[in-house]
Amino acid sequence: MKVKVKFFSVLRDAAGVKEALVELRDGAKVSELLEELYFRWPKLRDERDVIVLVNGKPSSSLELKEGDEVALIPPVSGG
Amino acid sequence: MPEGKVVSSRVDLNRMLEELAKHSAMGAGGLALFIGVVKGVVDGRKVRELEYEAYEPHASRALGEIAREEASREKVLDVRVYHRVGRLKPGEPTLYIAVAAVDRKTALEALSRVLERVKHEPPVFKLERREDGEFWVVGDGKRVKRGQGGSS
Repeated sequence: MKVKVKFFSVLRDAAGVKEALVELRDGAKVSELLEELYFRWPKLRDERDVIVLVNGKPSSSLELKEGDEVALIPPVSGG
Repeated sequence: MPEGKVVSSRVDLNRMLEELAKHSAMGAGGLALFIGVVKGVVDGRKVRELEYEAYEPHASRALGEIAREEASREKVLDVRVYHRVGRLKPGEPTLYIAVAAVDRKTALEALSRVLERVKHEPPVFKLERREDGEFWVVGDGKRVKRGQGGSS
């Protein structure tokens, strides 16, 4: 299955891309996606504060589905 | 009606306050307004501009939830929250919060609560362009210079 990944702020600079399509095994969890992202973009490992949103909601253990949109964000800075 | 969303241009303050003042018919005795503006100086350095990016539609959804939830509290009659995105120069408004409430204490407390939530909930990010370089603003004020890697 494929999921779309979006990167924001410092994490976009660390990855060097705005977004990517990532192929994973069916039923893969967020942790497996993160391993794949860290493998592709090792600089992401240097970032301590990574929040994962799946379809806009915070998530860490959820199983991913085909077509999900995952966002990697740092702590937000509104205002 | 409470409303919260991301906007790409200035908000018409007179119109917004006129709409909120109509709640006087429902017992509103005060309107409280907060406007965030781009700082011209940070850490003694001149700021050229701030660039805001929102993760949409989730940022607007979060702002809408804040407005509706806070407007549902006792003695609060209406809440409006508008967060701008794009490149903004020092002095330009970035965030508008307005509250209509039965009394001043309720209005000011609601305003403060909404502001704190806006700082922490919607996925909005900012890049500060200064005379000494570009800095990502992470969380509540931490600055990470671009090109140096690692926000830890």
